[in-house]
Amino acid sequence: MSDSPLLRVSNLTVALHLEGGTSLPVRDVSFDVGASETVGLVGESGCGKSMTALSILRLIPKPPAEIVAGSVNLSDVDLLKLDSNGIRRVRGNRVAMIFQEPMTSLNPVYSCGEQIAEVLRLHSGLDRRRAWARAVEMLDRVQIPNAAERAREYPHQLSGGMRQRVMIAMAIACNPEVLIADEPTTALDVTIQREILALLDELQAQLGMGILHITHDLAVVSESAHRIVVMYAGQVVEEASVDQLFSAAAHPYSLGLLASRPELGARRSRLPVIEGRVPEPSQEVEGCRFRERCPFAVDRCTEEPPLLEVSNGHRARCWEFERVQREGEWPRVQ
Amino acid sequence: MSSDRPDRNAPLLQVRGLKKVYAPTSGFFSRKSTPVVAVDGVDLDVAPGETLGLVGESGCGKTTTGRCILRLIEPTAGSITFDGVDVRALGSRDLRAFRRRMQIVFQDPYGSLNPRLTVGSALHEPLAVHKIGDPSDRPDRVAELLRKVGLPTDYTHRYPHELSGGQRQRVGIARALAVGPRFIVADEPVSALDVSIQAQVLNLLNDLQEALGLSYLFIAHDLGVVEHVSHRIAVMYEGKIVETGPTEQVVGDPRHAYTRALLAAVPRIRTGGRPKPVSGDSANR
Ligand SMILES: Nc1ncnc2c1ncn2[C@@H]1O[C@H](COP(=O)(O)OP(=O)(O)O)[C@@H](O)[C@H]1O
Ligand SMILES: Nc1ncnc2c1ncn2[C@@H]1O[C@H](COP(=O)(O)OP(=O)(O)O)[C@@H](O)[C@H]1O
Ligand SMILES: [Mg+2]
Ligand SMILES: [Mg+2]
Repeated sequence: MSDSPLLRVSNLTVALHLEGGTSLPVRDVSFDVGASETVGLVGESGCGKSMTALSILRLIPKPPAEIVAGSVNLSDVDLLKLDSNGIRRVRGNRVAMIFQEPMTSLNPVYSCGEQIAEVLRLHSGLDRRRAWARAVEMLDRVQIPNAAERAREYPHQLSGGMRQRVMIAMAIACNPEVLIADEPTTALDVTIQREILALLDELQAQLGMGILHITHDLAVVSESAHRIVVMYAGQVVEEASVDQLFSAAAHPYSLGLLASRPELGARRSRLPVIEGRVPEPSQEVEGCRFRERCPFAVDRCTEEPPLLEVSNGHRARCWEFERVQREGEWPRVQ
Repeated sequence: MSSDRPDRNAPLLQVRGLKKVYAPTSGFFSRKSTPVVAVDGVDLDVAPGETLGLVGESGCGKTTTGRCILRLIEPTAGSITFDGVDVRALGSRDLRAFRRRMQIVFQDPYGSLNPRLTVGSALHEPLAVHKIGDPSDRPDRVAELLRKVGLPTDYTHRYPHELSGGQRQRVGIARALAVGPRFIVADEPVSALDVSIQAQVLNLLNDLQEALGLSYLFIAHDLGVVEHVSHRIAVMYEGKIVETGPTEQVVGDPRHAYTRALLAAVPRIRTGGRPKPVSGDSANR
């Protein structure tokens, strides 16, 4: 971790109070995002990525969810301690968020331009005319052709990729310090995905914002992220620079995620798979939460491993990380 | 996994000049006032035991092609021959019998299963509709289907919401297999799944092909996924096939600019990483 990160999430723990009892979908999660830095937060569905992201802006559904421990520091302010006015001033202004399905966050009855202008009037106090002009400017900035005309269109009139661009325009309208992108390209075609990823990189270079990019696909963040945080069943299981992760992954789960993506050129071979599924947040596991799916598991794994230091800036929650790195490959079972 | 090339001399499915024009639609949410030519003169061949990958971006006509072949929607023009039968000439009774030989697996395992039916009932239904087997031995057939797709046989009592996305997709595949088809249109069967679960479903489709000699039309927008399962690939763009050939040729030596664009878009793990950000200048706001 750097000395003074822009965003520092420390020991974040979220509880989920459901009829069957209380469970912990996010367990003691810590990571930093620096200025101009992209951090990839990666893991399978249900491992707690969105809960973590929503907690940063205190947007988790409450009830049933509740932040029970930890802190979220933006520069030197703990967002979890702000009153409701305070956090509202941060949302969309200093920290902005975009989601997988832009339709759910865009209002169908307002034109794209109106929605961006509204955000600007709220946070920047611009008057109507200036806010509209700036909204058009923002649409142009996210490379929407004929921005002035498109600003008058409604969300349903746009393709999925164009909608995501509108979402991004809205998110960066107030020049946020941090952008949280929760699976921004998961619902898009690979060709459109590539364009959106390039756009985010470009905007980061222009604006210097830190980006937390959430995805289930390591390949998606392998080009744009500087560092990667791998989550499994509510916990951070590995944290590394992109280089460290792809050349020397230290947690078996990361190896499994890397192995299961079909690679160009490896046609019609059997893909290695991580058998089984992620334990539910309510499911308590003795020791390591990945133990039951892990081909590297040994007796000691019934004792829960902490995040162990692998090398500078590289940590993994695995007793056997040295062996994992040595073998370096997810075993193929025939 | 054998990569032996299936016999290409005797296609199981032959599609020629397939065309589908959607009539103009009107209404608040639609701006289409002209007919949409969704599929525009498509030729395809699928051999027994072969997987033909159909790849292209959203809206290029992949789903329409797949559904026309099964006559879930009526083509505007063209011919479809399956195992010597002129599919377009079939009357409604013959069409129903014919559907035992051609099935479809949908992208969205959430939307394609009835939320009120247990897994057991969902698999029982096609058996009853097509009067397959004796009613008394249908529970055994259902259990056998679950085994085939790698699900525990006690999952018969579960409802779709009690399953993960990958498990729901397995049920969708089991449902397609229930009637004993020879050919399956798999319409983006893994696009909605996590990468880790995609691998399980792709392996399953390959295993079933080996065990049952199935042919697939495998539809996707990710050429990386298509390459992994296909013997041959057809690249579709704006309703037309712009390139078709053996997988190694299409991927290794693409001829059409659009194929090259699709290849370049495949997300892949690139080592090397991004240089560390320089905090300072660029971060000044
Ligand atoms: N509103 C909710 N009610 C009940 N459970 C929830 C709710 N939101 C999330 N969960 C549960 O919390 C866990 C973490 O979910 P989430 O953070 O959305 O995962 P991810 O984004 O990694 O797919 C999952 O087990 C999910 O089922
Ligand atoms: N029922 C329909 N009515 C009118 N147009 C349709 C209908 N279904 C699809 N289309 C249009 O046909 C084209 C091809 O769609 P589709 O076959 O679904 O493509 P793909 O599966 O490749 O995404 C698109 O322009 C789409 O909008
Ligand atoms: Mg999520
Ligand atoms: Mg489709």
